[in-house]
Amino acid sequence: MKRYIAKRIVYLVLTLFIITTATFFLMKNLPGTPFDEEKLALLTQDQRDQIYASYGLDKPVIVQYVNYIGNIVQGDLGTSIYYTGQDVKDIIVDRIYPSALVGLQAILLGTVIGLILGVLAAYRHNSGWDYAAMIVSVLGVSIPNFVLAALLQYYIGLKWGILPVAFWESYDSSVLPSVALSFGVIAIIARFVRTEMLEVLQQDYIVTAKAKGLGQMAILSRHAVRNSLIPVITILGPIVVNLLTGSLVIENIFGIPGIGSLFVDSIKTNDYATIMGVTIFYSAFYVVVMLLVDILYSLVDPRIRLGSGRE
Amino acid sequence: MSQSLLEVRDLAVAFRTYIGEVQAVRGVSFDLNKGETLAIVGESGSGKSVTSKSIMRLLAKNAKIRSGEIRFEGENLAAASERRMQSIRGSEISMIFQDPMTSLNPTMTVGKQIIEVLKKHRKLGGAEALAKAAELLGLVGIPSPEKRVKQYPHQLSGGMRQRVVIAMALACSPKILIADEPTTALDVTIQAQILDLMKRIQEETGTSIILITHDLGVVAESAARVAVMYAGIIVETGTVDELFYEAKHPYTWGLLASMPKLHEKTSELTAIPGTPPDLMFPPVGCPFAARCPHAMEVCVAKMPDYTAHSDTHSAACWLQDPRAQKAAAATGASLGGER
Repeated sequence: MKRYIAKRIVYLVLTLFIITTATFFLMKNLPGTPFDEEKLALLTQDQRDQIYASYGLDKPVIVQYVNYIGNIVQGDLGTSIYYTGQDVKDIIVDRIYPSALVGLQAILLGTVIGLILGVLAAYRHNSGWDYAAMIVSVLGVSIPNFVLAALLQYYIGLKWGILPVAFWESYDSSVLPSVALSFGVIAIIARFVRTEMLEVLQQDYIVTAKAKGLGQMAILSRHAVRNSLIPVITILGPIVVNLLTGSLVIENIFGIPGIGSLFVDSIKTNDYATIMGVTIFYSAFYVVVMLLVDILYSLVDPRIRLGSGRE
Repeated sequence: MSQSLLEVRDLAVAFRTYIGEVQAVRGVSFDLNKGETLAIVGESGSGKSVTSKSIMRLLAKNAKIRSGEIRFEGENLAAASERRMQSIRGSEISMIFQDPMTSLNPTMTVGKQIIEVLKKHRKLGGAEALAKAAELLGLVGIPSPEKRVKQYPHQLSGGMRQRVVIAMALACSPKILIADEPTTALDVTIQAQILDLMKRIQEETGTSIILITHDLGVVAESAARVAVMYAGIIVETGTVDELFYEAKHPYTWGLLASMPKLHEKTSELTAIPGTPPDLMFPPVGCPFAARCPHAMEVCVAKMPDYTAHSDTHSAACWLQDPRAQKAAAATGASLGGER
């Protein structure tokens, strides 16, 4: 187990290195510069050279790359060009909180409700519960979350005035975006859990559990749900990454200063250091979550022993 | 009568399906005495598993007990509440299933799975339950049980797993143990070990066993009495000797003839020609009539009653009817009777 995790961490670093390298060179091929071209034209050649030099952009790309890698290794993500003088690391830390809060709430809400719906649907297969849960699921998948967001804003925010319509002012601001995001999660989890549960409920060991004299609740909680959750963990990995790293659309609609909008803005403005910083952050987060999912997997399913054969 | 632990009377079970209702069990009656092993034999679809599952009330949702009684120590289980059944299952009546590879939960240690039963029915907990689980594993012949209780099913072989299933079934010293094809999924060498184990346990605990099987070899080895099922009906019942040496029903003859024999050098296996009837539209008469080489007109028209040959031996066949005495004798001798 320990050896396996060590090996995975080596791969993880390697993956990050490749992503960093690829993004760096691709980014350098983007048309345009990080600067306002019109204003740049007003300056003298000397002044322009000075600006380029101050960001190290005067050197050949390969030298810039080596310097950049050197800085990352020391934990320095560079300074933003667009947000003049600000450390990219600080910007990301600032922006991650709203995204993570909204994402986390959406995941918790979505997973809990999705689980309940999925279990109910499977347990009461082909009943009203089942159909209702699946209708919710289909709606959740097919209605884009920005439509839902707009509806929530209009009714709950504007008409009834229960929660703030937009902007990031207090905790209350996080509720509507979380709800809007959670619908997709509910839909996916409910559908997945239902399918898995239906399969698990057919298994012989469920009959065995019944033959032992266990009640419905004990069979469901101890045998059926736990075993249905194993595959759900797999899809939970990407969902967690997607939501915690922010949803661009939802952040835009609700005016949340999250990391999703930071990423898009950084690309629009050719803010080299920020593009790199956010990309590295995203990828690092992704690979770490994937590793955690695999470890979690082995904890829930004893048949999976990481890295080695039996026992 | 006082000897009977379980009395099944006229049990009928039907399954609802999209295209109609399947009459899986059509009026089955038998008794199970204290400490005896009763084998229920029949081919796939004969209703033997459904009968055993009805006793435990473990039938699928679309199945329904149509009529009949299942009296366990006088109490009719066919009408008992689900709550009452839960207190009986695993405690008074236990079941062993066919495939030990799938009948254990793969994500739970075998110890925990045994402890579940003890907790439910004996209110044992913690260290006490764990010790009892290990003791049970030892009882069913699993070496180093203290180590095994902490293992998961996938760490055990098929034979070991079936021993675990048996240990689980025995946890609360049930009065009846229903074994539904307990050896079918196992290697032949392991089969014998498991049958021996069940025999030993019966001698030690005095539990009654209902053994569901299609394997007459298994029957000969472990049962005292046999009921032969065909198309949802018990066609013949008797002691093992009566069935093996004085079988009266043509279906039993067919079953016996289809057993491969080591001393005969034929490479071909004997089979009963034809297939069992469709139980969605069960025949009015004897269900075996269509495949029976001795079928008479009456066989197709009317279901025969049971004819008793001894206190323990009876068969449902027109050949055994007093009015068909001559025909029976003739066919018995020549195996060529037409009428």
